[in-house]
Amino acid sequence: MDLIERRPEGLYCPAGDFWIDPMRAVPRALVTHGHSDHAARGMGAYLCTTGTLPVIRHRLGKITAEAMAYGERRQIGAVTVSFHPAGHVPGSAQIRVERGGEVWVAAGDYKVEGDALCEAFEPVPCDTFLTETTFGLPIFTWAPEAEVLTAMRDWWAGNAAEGVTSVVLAYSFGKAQRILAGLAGLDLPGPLACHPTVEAVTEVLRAAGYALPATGEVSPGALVIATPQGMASDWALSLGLHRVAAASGWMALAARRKGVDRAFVLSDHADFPGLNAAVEATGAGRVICLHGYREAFALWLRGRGYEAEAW
Amino acid sequence: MEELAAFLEGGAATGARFAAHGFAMPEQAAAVLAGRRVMGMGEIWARASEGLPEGVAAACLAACGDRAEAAALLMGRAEGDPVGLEEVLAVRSEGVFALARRMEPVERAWFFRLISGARRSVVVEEAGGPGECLAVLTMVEGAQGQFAVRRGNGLVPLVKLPLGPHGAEVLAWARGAVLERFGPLRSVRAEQVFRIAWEAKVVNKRRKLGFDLVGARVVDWERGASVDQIAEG
Repeated sequence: MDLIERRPEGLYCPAGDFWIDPMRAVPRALVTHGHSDHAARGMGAYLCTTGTLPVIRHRLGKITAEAMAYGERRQIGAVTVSFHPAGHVPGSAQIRVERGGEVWVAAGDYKVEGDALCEAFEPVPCDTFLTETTFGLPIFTWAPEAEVLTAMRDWWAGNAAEGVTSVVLAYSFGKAQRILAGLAGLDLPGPLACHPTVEAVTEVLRAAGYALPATGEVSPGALVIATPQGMASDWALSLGLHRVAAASGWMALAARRKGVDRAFVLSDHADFPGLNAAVEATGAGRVICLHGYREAFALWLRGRGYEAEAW
Repeated sequence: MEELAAFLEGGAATGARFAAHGFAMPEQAAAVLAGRRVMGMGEIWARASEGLPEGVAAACLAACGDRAEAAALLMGRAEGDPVGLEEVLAVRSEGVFALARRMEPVERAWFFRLISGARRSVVVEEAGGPGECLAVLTMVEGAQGQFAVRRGNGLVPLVKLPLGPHGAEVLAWARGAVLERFGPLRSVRAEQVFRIAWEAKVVNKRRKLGFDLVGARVVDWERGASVDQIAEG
């Protein structure tokens, strides 16, 4: 019997009677990270990492939740589970499930390249690896983060010299703070600011001990990190003269670059070489592909000798 | 070469003007001007998707919705030379000719261009510059001659060119030197040697010699030269 099964609610471990990142209400959920497509409302109890807990409490309100440190082991039913860094967003984890020497790892979302904020991805040896494949095509290859952030800083400097505010669209949790932390190490041409939604999450992470630079009010020449929803609100009227950039892996595709003055290809997901490297590093013979280009990536892996399937 | 540059500088860059000078498209002219090879989209895609399972290549195309873009992203992966968005934008704004001149000599570069709403791209590679050599006339078709150079013991086609100022005289000779006729095409005795000059060599693997000549012309009819003197291809 497989250690982890695909069910309508999400990934289910029958031997432990728990779900991983379920999207429908279940009694017990193990959550890889705090994004809403992995940590949904309505679960009887949540189990996640200590880095994720403050974020899901902030997002989901009053919940029954417990946290574990990376590497800590816990017996749940007939299996032993542990959380291991995924490098995706602060607190993000891969979930290792072991029973009688057989090991499965549900990677959740992950990124192999390190950054200035997240706990670095840790390859976890296993027999079966459940990998995300959001960017599981060979057209997706990221430039080093330092290169992208330097380009962002230079774009910002050009705008600031004209007295124009720079707005970078990014997810409110993870990408936004990664940019803040990454830019903080560079020579900055002006102050940093955030949309209130981004600022609230940033404050949660500061309180959790993540080192993030100070952010202030929006002012001409500042770099403001905002969400697309924020730009559609009245808040955007306070920006004055501004230019808008987007930071996402999807910016690699020309069709996705519409509507912004500038695009930065910066992703919190592994690129194609990263996915391959992660799969290889686990030593897994069986790989299950989830999300995104799962069929194509499974096909690619089968061509390389893996037992691979798309769920 | 200066003549070509002057042509590119002057007037509207219409397809007809480029076609009149033997170029399939403006990008090709610009690439040749920069001394580089041009590949068509079919060859680009074949190279870019080489080694990929069919389903993966198809998914790449579907994701991009554009063969040029998918090829560019894949070539970046394969050859460690990712396409810079900045370059794409630069070409859109300043035009391909300006970019061709501004670029440092590189082994390979991409030109993107928006024409009638469709993005096209070409890959350009290094090729040879101007030169000249002796070649023997092997065929005559109308007022054009096929010239060849030696390779081993045989002759290999080099270029097909207008016969130029010697045309009438060469045709008169050819009428008495026909070996075989194929419609208007006359195969002639390989004994008349001409000096051929060109502005650029562009790699073309479909040619037996492995390249095309650009800006080629007959410089002179070397009446005293023998076939033994012609160049080794």
